[in-house]
Amino acid sequence: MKTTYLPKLARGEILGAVAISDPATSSAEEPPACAVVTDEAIRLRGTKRFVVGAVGAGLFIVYASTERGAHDRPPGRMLLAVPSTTPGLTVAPRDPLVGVRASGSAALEFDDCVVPTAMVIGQASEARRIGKELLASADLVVAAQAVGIGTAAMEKAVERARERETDETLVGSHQSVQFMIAEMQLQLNASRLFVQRAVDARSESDSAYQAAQAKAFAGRAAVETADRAIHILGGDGSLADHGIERHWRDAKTCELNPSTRESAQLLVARHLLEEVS
Amino acid sequence: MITLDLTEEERMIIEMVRDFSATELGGVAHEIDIEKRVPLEAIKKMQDLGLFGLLIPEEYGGSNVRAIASARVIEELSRVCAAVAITVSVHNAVGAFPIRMFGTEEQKKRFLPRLATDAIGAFCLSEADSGSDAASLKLRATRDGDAWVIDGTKLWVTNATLAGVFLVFVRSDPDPSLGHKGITALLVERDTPGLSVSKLEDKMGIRASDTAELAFDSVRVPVENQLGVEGEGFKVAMSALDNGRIGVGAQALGIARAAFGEALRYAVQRRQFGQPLADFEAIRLMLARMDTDIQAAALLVYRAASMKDAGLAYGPEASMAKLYASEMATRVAHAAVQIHGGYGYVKEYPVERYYRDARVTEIYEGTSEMQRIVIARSVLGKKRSRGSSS
Repeated sequence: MKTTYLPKLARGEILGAVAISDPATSSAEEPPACAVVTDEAIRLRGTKRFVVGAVGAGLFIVYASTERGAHDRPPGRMLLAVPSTTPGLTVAPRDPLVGVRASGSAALEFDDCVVPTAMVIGQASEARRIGKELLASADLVVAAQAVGIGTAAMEKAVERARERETDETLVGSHQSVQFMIAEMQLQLNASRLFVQRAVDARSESDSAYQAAQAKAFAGRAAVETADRAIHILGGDGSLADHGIERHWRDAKTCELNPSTRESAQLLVARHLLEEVS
Repeated sequence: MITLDLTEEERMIIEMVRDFSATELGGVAHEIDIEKRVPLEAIKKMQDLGLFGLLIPEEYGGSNVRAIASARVIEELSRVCAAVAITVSVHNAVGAFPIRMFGTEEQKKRFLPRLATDAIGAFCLSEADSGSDAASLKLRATRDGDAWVIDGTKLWVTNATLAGVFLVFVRSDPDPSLGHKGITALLVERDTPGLSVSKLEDKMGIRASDTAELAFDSVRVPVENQLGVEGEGFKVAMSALDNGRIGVGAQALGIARAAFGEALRYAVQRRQFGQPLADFEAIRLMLARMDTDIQAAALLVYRAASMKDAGLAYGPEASMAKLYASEMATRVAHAAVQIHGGYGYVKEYPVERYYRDARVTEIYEGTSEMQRIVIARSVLGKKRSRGSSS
């Protein structure tokens, strides 16, 4: 699997995407992706949602449930590498997201996709752990993304504060603007330090906690920074021409990807309670 | 937890401070808060342990630890008793350190060995009409032969009743157009005739540290006690405050860690509706936010200290650390009281003290508003951010 896919992924000849999120409601029309395991192959059925980069991806890493009791296996989780060309796999129309709209996020529908057992990643017993690691990696990426979005929004706001005069008063001479700039600088600095710390802790036992915390903080900081930046630009901030409303919308996705702010905070809380018990 | 790159000696100092805090301060922190009593016995022991010489070079009898270790010491003390912590921090950061930075060799030899062992330092900048606008201070000093003669009062002097040496900022030139350029720093010995404590403040928090008004009645200070250049005292004050802000950030961090520890323990033990509080999602989210808030402050405080240790300009970083940590400590202590419910509002539990102690960190050594001005100026440039003459 490594020799087939990693060089192509490294060269960018094929793009990878990760399918973790299940549909919000498990309904008959939209069941979560479920794998039926036989000796020869695995059949995938159901749906995965919010797959970032689904449009254009050549290979999907799919985190699937395994069917209860199939071949006497306990119900569990399984990680599979699924090429986009697999018969029965459909990439749904692009999700109409609030932000990062060019990311090609879409749902995946599996209609009895046959996946060879050779495409299973890791042992069945490792699937949950690997799934958590994937989530931690994604948290870290989104935390860094949030820092970038926040920095871009702040740069535009600082430029406006320095250059523009309204009623012969420099925008940046207003204390309200100065205080917003101070808050941006502070939150983005702390966000960068959080990301750095989470990167340093990548091989530590608390890496998932570190990544979730970095994401929860940096995501909020990005939203608040972009929000303040809009206010510093005033009416211009709401115009698409200035790009800040895009940063504002993009920032919001950092509080939703790869999981919600609340999910990240609950992961942090579980870690704290495990430490104390 | 962040793993800090501390030396073996620094680790030992912090370990010692943790033990000392638990054994010597843990039992009395509650009582001395209620009685507004400065724990003189404990302070004497801390002098013997060298905690008052942390920022003083070895050749003058101190231990000269790095800012990062000094911040950790203040943090550990604050986890148990924030009042004692500020006594130490004020002495180290804005009492002794400016002498190290701006003193002549003769002044260092005269003052630093005493400050490292038995004399406590104090910092006198604020006045009744001059708080955040420190450059407008009025305490008048006139030259008379080889002495400065000081008349007037200073406010909010931490360590006022304990101090042996006061760093006093005076208006040495009455020309009002000079502003901060008419200010000079003087070192005043406690036993100088005419110097007295005129009013002890009754504070909301950190009640076991003394804060007082200081009266100067024709106090004669020999010119050899002038710290730095005449008319350049404001520079001494601002440099001291940059340093002090790391200390206040560390103090706020320690208070918050203590409040969080109590809240976490209580949330696990306390049962309502048949389950521990910690099993309720709302409480879990509060705990997660408190921890994230604390970690953010820790990153900022340690970062500012590391920059100082690396010899980099760290003023805006110290302001960010102080601003975030102080407001964070109030938020975290507020949440800790909330998790305790009624028990959080009574003195049987320590969280109400943490809440009261945290509040002042948003005010002293530069209010949150002044920190925001400093930070904004570092981003926007000086002329674009008015509101302070500093």
